Amino acid sequence: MVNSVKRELARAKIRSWRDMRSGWLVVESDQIAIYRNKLIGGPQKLTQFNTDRLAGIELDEVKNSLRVIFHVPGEEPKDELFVLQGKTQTDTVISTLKDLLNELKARKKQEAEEAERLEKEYQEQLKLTRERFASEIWETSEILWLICKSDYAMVRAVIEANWDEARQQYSRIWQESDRLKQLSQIEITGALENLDGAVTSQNGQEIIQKAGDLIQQLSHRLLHYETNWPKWQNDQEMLAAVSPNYGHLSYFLLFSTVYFEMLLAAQIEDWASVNSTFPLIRSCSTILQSCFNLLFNGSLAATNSAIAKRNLTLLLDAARQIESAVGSVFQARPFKFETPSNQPKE
Amino acid sequence: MLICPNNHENLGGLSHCRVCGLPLLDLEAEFASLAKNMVNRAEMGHRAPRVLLVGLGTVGANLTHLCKTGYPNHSSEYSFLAIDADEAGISNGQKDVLHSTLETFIPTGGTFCGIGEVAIRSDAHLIPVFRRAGLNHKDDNQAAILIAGIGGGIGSAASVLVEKVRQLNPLCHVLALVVAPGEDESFHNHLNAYYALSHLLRRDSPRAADLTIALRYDRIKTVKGVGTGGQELTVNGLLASLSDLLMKNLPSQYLAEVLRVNQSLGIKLVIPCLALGRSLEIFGNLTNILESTIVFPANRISNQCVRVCHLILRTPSSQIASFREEAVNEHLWVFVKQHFPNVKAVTSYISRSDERHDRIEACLLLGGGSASSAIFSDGNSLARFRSELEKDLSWQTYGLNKDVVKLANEAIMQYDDAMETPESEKKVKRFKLDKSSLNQIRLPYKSTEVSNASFPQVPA
Repeated sequence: MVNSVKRELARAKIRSWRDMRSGWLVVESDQIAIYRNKLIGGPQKLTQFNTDRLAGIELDEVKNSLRVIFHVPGEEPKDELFVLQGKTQTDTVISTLKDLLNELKARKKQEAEEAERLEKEYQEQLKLTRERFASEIWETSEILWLICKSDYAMVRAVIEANWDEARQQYSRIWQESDRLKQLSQIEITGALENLDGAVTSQNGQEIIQKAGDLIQQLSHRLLHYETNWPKWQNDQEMLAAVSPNYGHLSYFLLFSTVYFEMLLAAQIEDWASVNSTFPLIRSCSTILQSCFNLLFNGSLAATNSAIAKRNLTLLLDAARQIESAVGSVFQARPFKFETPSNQPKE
Repeated sequence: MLICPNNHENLGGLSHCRVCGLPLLDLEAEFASLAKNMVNRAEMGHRAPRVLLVGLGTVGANLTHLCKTGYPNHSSEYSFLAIDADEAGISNGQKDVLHSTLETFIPTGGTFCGIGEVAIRSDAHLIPVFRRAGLNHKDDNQAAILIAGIGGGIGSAASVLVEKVRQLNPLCHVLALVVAPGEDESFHNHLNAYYALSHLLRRDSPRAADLTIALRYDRIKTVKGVGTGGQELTVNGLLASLSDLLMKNLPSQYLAEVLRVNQSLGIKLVIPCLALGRSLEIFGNLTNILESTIVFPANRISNQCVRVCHLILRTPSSQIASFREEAVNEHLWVFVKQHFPNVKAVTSYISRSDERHDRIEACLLLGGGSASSAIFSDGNSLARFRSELEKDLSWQTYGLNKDVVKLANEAIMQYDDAMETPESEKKVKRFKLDKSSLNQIRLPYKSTEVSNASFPQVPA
């Protein structure tokens, strides 16, 4: 309210209002009150209208009547018809009401501008938060991808008895898992320690088993949210509809695992396993397209064709295309925000 | 209830989310399945075995089992693999490890060579099974011994396995221990064997084995032998015993030398002559034992044809005094001179066993014979077979075509021609074998110790 102290601004005698023939219209800073004249006891207040609801005035000079329009947000506008005593009183009331109307408009405009500014600030902050959040999800995805890549490369090196390469890949897994721990508090130290003994003793069989355990443990951490994201604890609601999200990470891990599984199986010419992995790659790719905006274009069709022909060269070409798509999306780190109802239906 | 990637709840049984249309995946089950794949692959991380015994077809698979179970003192140096047609109707896929012997079944077998070859070639499980058996990387210390009854459809595809083994370890020595069908067996058995041998002996082919040891079924039945327990060996027992002897007594260095000698003479096929479980108490000395090997050779070979003779001898440690290297070579020299007048090279390898008995195992591998004589009992049988080949047969039944049969025939004839007038022989016309030169060419091996003695250089 502009005028916080209640004060009378104008007064006019009513000759007609609804079915009342004699009374008073009193315009105050916060209300327009209507009084009826009583023979005994003085004027009696019949009703009042909040000046905040004042929406307009219309003067009918022929009938000498004044129509005052009130509007409550969310309701139909209502009007009240007054016939006031004499032109002077009518003009005074009209002038006062016009002032009130102008004041009201100015106030509403100011409030709208303020609200808009606050909303803009909020949206800006929201955008920054979502960007930071999405960036973190992307970084985690990239680490998961690299861990899977090294895990399977290590297994391949073990199968080929290339111990230098196996140790190198194992060291990369350590580095990436360390990054993962710092970034997302995802802890796979147990699995790594088990792997450590096997790598040191060059026990190939055990290394392969433990490499499988490592992926299993990683997936368990993600699936059961055995991680805390303290930075985002307060913004969980705000970030729920950001895509990619926490919940999507396990799908990224699944895609990474099954992709490198397919690659390894092909490299060791285990075509039965290659065949069995492709449907899962296809399902994951649909999810990754939707949640991570990861576009595979023709690489999946090329992969399928190479598998059908059991052609390792073609398969490796297609795999390069897939890895290039993944590399590009890691660079771009796209994200979107949408409520579930806005999501496209396939 | 299944949750989609966008957290929409869906009833079980749906493949896609009813709200957003994304695929519904059971993440835990998928990860568990991927982990299981990895565990199944764990055996590929085994340290590489020195020798891989691969049984192909019913004969080969049975022998592999027999060898594994009958000679149980195996270390991780040996690995066993049995491959057979899936006659029981088990869907394709490898069975679990059975007493450390890997088994795999080819989904569709076949009585005929061409069909068996396609079945083996197209089986997606074979390479992983080979890897699980320890054939993973370049290692020239490894040897693969493929055992197959080549009269059968699956066994006749042994050369496909040779190629696969080479693919996995190009440095691996590949030996094929093949059992050819007997004289009374049918045309298609002989065709299978003929086709199999043509690939195993083909020049400059990735499917050719480094060495093919060919036995004939009706000949083995005449061979006598005694097992480790003193019992008389059956046919399968003999073959298992021979496999065991080859596995344990062909160290890679000796094998490399054997192959080098054979290669210099163009020989890829050898015929084994066996004296298994010969008691010293009965036979008295090595000469008698060696004589007993050629009484009933495991295949047909003329003494005149023999150009190379390799002796593999296993004696109990208690008999070490009687089988010193020099003494063995002396006996061998006399024996070779007496029986194989055209021999160009002789090698020997002696190993010791911890057995307490006095039984000696001796195996002569004689090279120089023709491929057709390893399959057919005489010239008439061969002529009959070749006249059948000339007929306009329905080759499709065998999974073959006329061109393939022609190529197989050419390969056998090429090998046989080379054996009849070997180039090396032409060059060494004036090279006369006498005792002093034989001393040079003998390879005295003692246990794992490798002699530096070299083979005779062919005079220019």
